[in-house]
Amino acid sequence: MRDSTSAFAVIEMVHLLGLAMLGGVVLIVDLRLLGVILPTRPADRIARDLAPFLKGSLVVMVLSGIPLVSGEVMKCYYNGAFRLKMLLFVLALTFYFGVHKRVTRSAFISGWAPRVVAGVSLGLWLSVGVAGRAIGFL
Amino acid sequence: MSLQEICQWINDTGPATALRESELAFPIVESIHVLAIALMAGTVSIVDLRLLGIVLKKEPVSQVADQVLPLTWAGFALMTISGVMLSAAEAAKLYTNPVYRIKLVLLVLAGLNPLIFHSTIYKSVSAWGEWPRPPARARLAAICSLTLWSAIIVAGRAIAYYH
Repeated sequence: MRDSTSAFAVIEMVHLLGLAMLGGVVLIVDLRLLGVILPTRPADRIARDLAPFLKGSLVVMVLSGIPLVSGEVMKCYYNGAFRLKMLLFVLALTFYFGVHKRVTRSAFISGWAPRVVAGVSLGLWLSVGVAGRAIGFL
Repeated sequence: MSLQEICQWINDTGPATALRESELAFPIVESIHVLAIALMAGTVSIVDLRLLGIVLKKEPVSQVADQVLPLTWAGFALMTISGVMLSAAEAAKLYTNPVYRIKLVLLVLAGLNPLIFHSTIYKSVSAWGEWPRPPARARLAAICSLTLWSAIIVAGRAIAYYH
């Protein structure tokens, strides 16, 4: 993996395409929860409708992420940005499946709770992305 | 002055040299560029998937477009500004990079697509905007957009692999 420039490049591209999809879905759902976009359309329906794409892009990112790491396991192990990214990724995943999904699934979505959840979710996913880009610079 | 000389001149200007040689500013601008592309391609793909009748079928196309496309434009602006900065910093090297040229052509095509879309089929959106599956011409524009932006991301990443 490490020796094959083209395989590494192709998988990196797939990883990036997954990032774009994931970023788009997270942004649309969370900005709806914040009331910034599509305020007149039901938030639970938007979240439910886009959920398969969120999970699908997560699968693409994890499946492409594993060979990227396995090619450079030792380099990643000592890379501070990589450790931070994995920590943030686990937090973001736990938050999504533990809190975010429950809030968007409940029939009654109003008040401050969805806004806080959306803010935390945006912050977590953005940090995962920034930490991910930083791996290459350390 | 040839195009190559112009690129060399841009490459050698003070700000371009400073950015290229900066150990902090260059990675920051590059990170902004990647995140801006995710913002722009990610949000536009939601609109495209709505046009294809895959997601948000119950929300009118005009509402999805009106509400989501400003985000796409914000991403586009960030992407362009950071992209111009990165291009200037590496202008001499990029002049001879074939992938960079392909990417520029793809960007022009990706820009033409919404121009054509908005001046033709989108004008009658009030007639079909509520349809779960919009007309074929709208779906075609969505497929073009998804294909072009994916290709731009792939080409953008590939630039770094051609020296």
